[in-house]
Amino acid sequence: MSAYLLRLFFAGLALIATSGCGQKTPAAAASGAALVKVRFQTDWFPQPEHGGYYQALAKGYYAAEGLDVAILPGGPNAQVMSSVAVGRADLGMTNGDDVIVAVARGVPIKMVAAEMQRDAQGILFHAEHPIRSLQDLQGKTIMAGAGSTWIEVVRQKLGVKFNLIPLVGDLARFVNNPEFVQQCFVTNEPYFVGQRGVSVGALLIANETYEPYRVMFAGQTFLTQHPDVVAKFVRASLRGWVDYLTGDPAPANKLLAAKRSDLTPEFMAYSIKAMNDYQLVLGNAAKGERVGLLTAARLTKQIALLQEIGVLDKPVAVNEVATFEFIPAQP
Amino acid sequence: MKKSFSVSTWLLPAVSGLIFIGLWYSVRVVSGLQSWILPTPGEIMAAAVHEHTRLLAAAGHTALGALGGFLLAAILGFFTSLLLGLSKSLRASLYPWLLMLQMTPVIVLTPIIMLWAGPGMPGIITITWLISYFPIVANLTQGLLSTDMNHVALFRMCNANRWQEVLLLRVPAALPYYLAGLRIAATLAPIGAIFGEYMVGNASGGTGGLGFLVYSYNTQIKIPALFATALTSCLLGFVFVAAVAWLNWALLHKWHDSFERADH
Repeated sequence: MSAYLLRLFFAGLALIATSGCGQKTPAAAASGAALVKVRFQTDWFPQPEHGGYYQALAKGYYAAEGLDVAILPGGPNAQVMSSVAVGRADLGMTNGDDVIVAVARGVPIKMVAAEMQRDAQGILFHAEHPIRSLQDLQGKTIMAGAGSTWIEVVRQKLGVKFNLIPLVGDLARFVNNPEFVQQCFVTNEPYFVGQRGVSVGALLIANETYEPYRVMFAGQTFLTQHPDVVAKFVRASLRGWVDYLTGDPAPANKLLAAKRSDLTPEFMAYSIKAMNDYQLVLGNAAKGERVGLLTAARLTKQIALLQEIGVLDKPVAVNEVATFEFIPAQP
Repeated sequence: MKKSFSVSTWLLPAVSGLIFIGLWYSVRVVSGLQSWILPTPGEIMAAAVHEHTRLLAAAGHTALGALGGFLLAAILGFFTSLLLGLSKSLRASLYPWLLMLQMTPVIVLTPIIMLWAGPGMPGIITITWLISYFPIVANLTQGLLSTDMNHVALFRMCNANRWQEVLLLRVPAALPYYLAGLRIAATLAPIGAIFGEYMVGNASGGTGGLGFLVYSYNTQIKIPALFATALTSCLLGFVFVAAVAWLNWALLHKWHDSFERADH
């Protein structure tokens, strides 16, 4: 019997091996020229908030730069930064604050461009009990991710006092209680709650005091060895983002829907509209923002803030957390 | 296997089930709760039918992870037990550490598993293995130590060497213990795989498992579908347990007391 089990065991191992490398490589360019393989780690299951990358893939922007990009799906505990740091992926995307903190702790990664000018985190509320500014949270009870940086900022810098209950991925309580307030992504939860016939609003948390980027970052080794590849990746990705948000998003949405059958066209359209309405990716031109832009001034301010509220235990220099050479010049 | 099934074997659970479903409906009607708080069994079945392609694909994905982790636990558990069961000093040196591994909640290890084994299937299989490994080791080790002393004496009288004693006597005699361990592991493996998908899954290859559906349906407030996912998970658990029960029957019914005696 053990021989039989042994065979099963090796079958099992083969299974592990194949499923681990189950990433489909994108179709190679027709030219046949050898494309450079790049692995890009996302922070969650495929979703419209990754749309720009999928658009670049679907429309061949990566291939046009000579890249064969594999977009790796994330998920709970995705550990995007660790994955890139240990070389399981070459580049990744996540919240800019997290990169600052990780770099300060010695994780060998560096920001190479902004993905979103401001994070999509928001406060979800019922329309009949509106939250117009973060000051309105005074005395409320909020369901939010314990340890979120914004909570400390609002408490310490704005002096707003509120109670916290732990965030669980569950909207039923919110739907049921008109006074309930919880953390959300402005690109996501409002849609599903709205579908239940609840009239809701969402306030973007990002503000003058606290405005974290969402960023693309690269592993330090990869960055040192292949700056040209990073440049191409950033260029093609930003091109994908502009096209996804201002052009026809169908190519990326088709890829996304193939990866996740639960993403409906209506939801994806909502998410895209929210990214545009809140100027998350393309930025606010009046404030000098543009797609991909990271500024040393804003990062310096963020580092100082993180240190002030005690998230960052030691100082870190701007040029340690980010490099600005890949950010496209003024269009 | 029981000799005969009486009417009550089927009738009593059917009646209690009907009463339960009746209560369920009346709670819903009396309380006036909406379907996304307390869906009725009918709504759950409707959701199961509506979502059946997704549920089946997810169950297949989860079954793969569960099977991978289960087999890994069965194989590694077998060899670990051999080591533990055959050498007193090895048992003394290793058992406390195995206990430590067992006592550490997997949820604490999840980020480490994620980093070492990787996201998706490798991580899911590792978590499933960790959860199902120990019952197998504990049972089989106990089995290897419980060989009938009369049989051991007989083997020694016939000058059987150590290996003959182990392979021809101790291992076969411990088989019922091994299978008991496998049965516990079989109930744990699908749970481990779903937990793994919930903690380290990445839904790669276009299909997430049942753990992924929990996220998906929960964020979309599709509560009847969430109940249907629970039902599917439960069925998957039964399939695993039934498979081991069959293995148990196939390997033991010809010779083991538990299939021949009429006193239980």
